[in-house]
Amino acid sequence: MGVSISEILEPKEACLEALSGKIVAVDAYNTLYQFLSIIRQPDGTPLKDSSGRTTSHLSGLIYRTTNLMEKGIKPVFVFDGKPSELKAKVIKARSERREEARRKWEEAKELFPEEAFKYAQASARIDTGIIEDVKTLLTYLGIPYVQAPSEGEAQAAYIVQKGDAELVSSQDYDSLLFGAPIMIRNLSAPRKKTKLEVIELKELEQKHGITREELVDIAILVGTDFNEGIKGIGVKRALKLIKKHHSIEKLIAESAIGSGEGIENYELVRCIFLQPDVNESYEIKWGTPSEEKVKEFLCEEHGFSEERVSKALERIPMQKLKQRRIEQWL
Amino acid sequence: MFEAKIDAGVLRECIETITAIVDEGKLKIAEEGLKLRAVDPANVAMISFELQSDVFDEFRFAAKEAESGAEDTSESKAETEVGIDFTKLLGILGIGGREEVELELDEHAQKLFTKMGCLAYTVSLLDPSSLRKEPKVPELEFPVQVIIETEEFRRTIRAAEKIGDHIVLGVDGEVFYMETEGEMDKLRLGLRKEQLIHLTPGTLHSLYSLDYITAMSKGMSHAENITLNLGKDYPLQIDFEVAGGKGKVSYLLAPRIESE
Repeated sequence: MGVSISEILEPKEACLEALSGKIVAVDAYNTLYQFLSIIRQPDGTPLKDSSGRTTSHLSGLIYRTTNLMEKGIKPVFVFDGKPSELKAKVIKARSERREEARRKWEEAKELFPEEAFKYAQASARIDTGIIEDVKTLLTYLGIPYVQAPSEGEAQAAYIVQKGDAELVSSQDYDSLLFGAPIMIRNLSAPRKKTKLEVIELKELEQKHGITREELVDIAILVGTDFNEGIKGIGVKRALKLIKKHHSIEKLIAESAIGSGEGIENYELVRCIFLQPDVNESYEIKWGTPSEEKVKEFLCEEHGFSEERVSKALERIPMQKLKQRRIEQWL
Repeated sequence: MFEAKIDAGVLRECIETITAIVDEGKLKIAEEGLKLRAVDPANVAMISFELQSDVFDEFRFAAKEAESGAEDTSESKAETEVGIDFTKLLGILGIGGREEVELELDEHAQKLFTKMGCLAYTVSLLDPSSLRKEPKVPELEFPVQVIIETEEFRRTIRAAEKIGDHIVLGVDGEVFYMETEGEMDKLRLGLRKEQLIHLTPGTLHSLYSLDYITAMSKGMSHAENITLNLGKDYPLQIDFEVAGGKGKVSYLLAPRIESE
């Protein structure tokens, strides 16, 4: 999902250690999809507790996120709000795709077990229960989260622009269109083979000699979460066209493209990326993890191993308040 | 020999200041009055308490040595030390109402007789050797002093209790502030110099356990004003008067310090 502009990007590899001490605005939905699609049993069934509730997202949060925190990375989770109307079409298509994948998974589980995992991954979905679970656990872990009015990535980008975080963590390049100065991929759910990729907006602009506005127009031509894009135009062609004409308006005026099917709402889409709806009075505050509450929630309610949860909690660097003794002054 | 009569309310008020910090302790009795200095079991807080003998309706004291005519009558010995379970004593005084309390010490039997009207209560004293040694006198210098109405302070502590488990006391320029943060909520009291009885301007703050300050705030409930002595990551000393100015109490509380 997101925009397919990877071909014109030149991500730089990064290592976790280099991110130590940095605050990262994490695209929560994106990360949860990853948890839900990757953290599964071999036949593709998500992790579940004894009452059959999915726990893949909680597992990802407690083990993988604490891993990042141990490295000194400070995550801030940013949740999507109400999706824009333009996105509704995409969302509908996605849920149809998921439904299709779920059917295929059920089929494959019996007939082609080796195919099952793939379909299971594609069927991952986030419901309000999962969101509530995650917000609860974040609170118990003392990790802050911000609720975006609309797009989570837009809010995350805004938080970085404001200087309250240093980079956006997401798998989608949309973050760049929303103006994230720096973004990182593969952070929240790194797999062994995938490397961390860092992309800087400024470098991208300089390399291609384009502005962010032009980048957004390129994305619109190719297709985004909010429009289909023009059939047959890939990112390289779009880049060439925009570099020559500088904007979709001129491109249309100089009739370098056909009917314009797939970009009908380009002005609106452009507006979503360039003037996104964000919460300007968000607050980011780290709390103290409550071991008791985390264990009550994960171990008692969802059957997590107490030993593993304890170990995970130990990885969180703690600002300890040490009570002094009076003798020191007597 | 020690015999005394005192208003029950005044005695209760005094003992409440002690039980805010310790349940039991060694009370020193001398001609000038009563004295106590004790550290709480966790070594975090200390109380210094003094009550002048003239607050009593009657106060008769003679040191043991002098009484028995022993050879050592040096003045330093002219005091008696008794181990008292203050929490227990306070419980009984609470039942006794507002009458006058008669106190009589039987050092030989290690008993303290208390009489409230028709109610007589014999308190068994604690063996002083089983109690903790009296702490040393602290040597502290406080850069900042704030005098505030007790009720203002207590009200803030009551609210803070509902939010967090520690509280910042600090001075920022000519403003004294108290600030507490919980997992979700935040509370701040800010008072300018003119809203206080006294303030030494400065910039510093320290963090303290609310459990202790809450206990202390109960102990100070009868005082009109309290003096807060503050430093940076430094103990807090709270001074106030009890028994109409005839009693002096100082609480000392070690700070909590942030460390990685």
